[in-house]
Amino acid sequence: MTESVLFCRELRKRFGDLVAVDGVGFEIAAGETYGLLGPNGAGKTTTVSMICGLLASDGGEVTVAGRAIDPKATDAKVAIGYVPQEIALYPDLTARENLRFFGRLYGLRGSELAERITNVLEIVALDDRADERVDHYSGGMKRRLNIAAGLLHSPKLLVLDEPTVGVDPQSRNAILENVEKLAAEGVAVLYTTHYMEEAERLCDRVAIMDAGRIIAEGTRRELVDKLGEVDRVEIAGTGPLTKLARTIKSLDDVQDASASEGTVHVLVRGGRHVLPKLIELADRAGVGVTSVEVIEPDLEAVFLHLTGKALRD
Amino acid sequence: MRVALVVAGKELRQRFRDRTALLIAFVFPSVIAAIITGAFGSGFGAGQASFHVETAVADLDHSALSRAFLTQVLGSPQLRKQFTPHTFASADEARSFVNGHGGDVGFVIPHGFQAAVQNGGRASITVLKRSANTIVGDIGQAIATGFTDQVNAARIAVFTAVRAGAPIGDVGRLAREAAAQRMPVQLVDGSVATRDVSGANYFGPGMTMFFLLFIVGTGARSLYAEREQGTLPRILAAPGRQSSVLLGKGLAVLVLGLASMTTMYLVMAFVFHVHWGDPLAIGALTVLIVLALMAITTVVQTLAKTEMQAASYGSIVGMVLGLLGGNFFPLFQMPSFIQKVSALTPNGWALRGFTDIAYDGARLPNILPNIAAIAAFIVICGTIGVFRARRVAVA
Repeated sequence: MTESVLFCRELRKRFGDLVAVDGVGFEIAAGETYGLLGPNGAGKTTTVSMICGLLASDGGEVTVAGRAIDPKATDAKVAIGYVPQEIALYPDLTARENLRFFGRLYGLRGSELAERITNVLEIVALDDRADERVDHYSGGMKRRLNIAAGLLHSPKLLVLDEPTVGVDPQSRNAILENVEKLAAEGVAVLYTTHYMEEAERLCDRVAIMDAGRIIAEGTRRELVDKLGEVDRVEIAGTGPLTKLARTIKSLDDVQDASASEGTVHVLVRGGRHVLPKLIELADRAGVGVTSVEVIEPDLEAVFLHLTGKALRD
Repeated sequence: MRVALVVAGKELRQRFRDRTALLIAFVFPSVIAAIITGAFGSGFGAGQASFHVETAVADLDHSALSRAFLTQVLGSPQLRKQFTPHTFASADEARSFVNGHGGDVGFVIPHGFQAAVQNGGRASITVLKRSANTIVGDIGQAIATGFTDQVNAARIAVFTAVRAGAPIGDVGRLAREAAAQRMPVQLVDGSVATRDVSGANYFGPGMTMFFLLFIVGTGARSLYAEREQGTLPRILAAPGRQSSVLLGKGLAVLVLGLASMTTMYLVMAFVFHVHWGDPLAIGALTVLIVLALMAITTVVQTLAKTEMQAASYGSIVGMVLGLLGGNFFPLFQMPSFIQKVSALTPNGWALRGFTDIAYDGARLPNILPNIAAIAAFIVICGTIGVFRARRVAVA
């Protein structure tokens, strides 16, 4: 891994008797998108607040771009772009005025500020609505502008705290595309969500949080493999499907195979790797394959397995 | 400081955008100035033309001494603009003039008034008052008492001179000289009504301050608003100290508060010709009182949990401070208990200062006690307020 942009270790936070965060630690490299996945109340936002210097931790350390972060670390915060869960904008100001204010907070001035405003408005596709008041925007447009405000000062670490809550599918897709583009440009992204499909699409690595602790961490594949879960391959076709199922079942790594309703159902470890072999066997058996689908275990299943509860509980 | 200025700029832009800045800084102070000047511009002032007393005088003595009351007291430069005498032949006619609402007060100088003085008796004047206008009646009583006290004092002086060996034939001359020498002094020093007091000088700052009590709390309240709309975390995530955010919000409110007070001064001075006194002293007092009101409302409002609650707390404190500090009623007309309690309010100290500057010509060194008292409020409440506001910010 390249040098970490974000490094946090043993973060702890307690509110009275409630332990909100209990020994959380992870690293994010430049260009990497790291997902913090967990249900409401898991401790994601508290963790993010400590990473952004909004909240003093009770223990542990956070460094961003090599500089320690806490609420009193003023200059070090310039490396962080924070996109809060709420739409943190002034509805009575225009998009440009909002961005001008937040840009100035980060020390941007004059032509540099104007250029950055134009740039981020183009990124979130709001450049043609820049001088409209924010209270005239749709929910999705506000969400996009909310992200733009976190990008103004070209941060090394972009922290997005549930940025797609309450967003229409079109705007959600636009937001996810923006995040992908930023990561490709080398920005380290910390992305918290309880939408596992977003985490699966965006994140190079995922940490699953529950009750203030990280209970599992890794790539989606690593997490799935840790659980010993298998993939499901569905081969639809015509011909001797039952014979094909028996043949497939005899292969190593295949746990089960059966035929029904014109489809062979295969439970196999590493479905994508085995797929060419399955197609070859179907061809040899004289089966005319009409479609093939590999269904891998998702993070929802991983979460359910680890915690015994659904992600959105 | 950079962050504070950025925050202050944003606050002012928002206030101008929703026009509250225009209302706070220009419209309301101008309206207050117009209302106050119209209602109280001459409320206390012997020097103001609209304070006018129709005065019934029944001189039943027709002596040199009774004529002196008419010419040297009611006809004195200090009173003649306000008191218009109407002479009557009898006490009944004077009484019916006053009771018939034609007059505001009446004086009956009894037959034998001068003789009583010359013979060693006690001279007295009957004051006719209207029950509906007790203040003017009291002023009339004070004038009559002042005159008779002087006459009696002169009588004692003459009596003393004669006992000391002055010729008895000089009694009349001695009496006239004694009376003539003391009369002006008596009028200038002894009567509240002779001070050049304008109600506008008192109620202008008083009402604007009261108005500001509700305005200056917006700084603290906006913290709640920022927190509730989610912008506060984003600001605090930016480089800069929490105190810079608070300072920025405070600066914006200070600008609006000072603009409000300045507008009130200028409108009253240039449109309504109210004389304020030493501008340096007025300026110092204004800056300090705005800061003090900001500090005290910040303390109170940061005890709240929501913006709505903060607004309610601010209103309650505003009303209490306004009542105790004398913003509604002149302190010198209040019971002594309230006058003492007003020393616990910054607006009370400020109003005393404004009064001293306008009425007594006090300058900056003369109001240093007021400045010190208000500064103490700023330091104490400001320290607590900033501490409390930081807790609100990070909560």
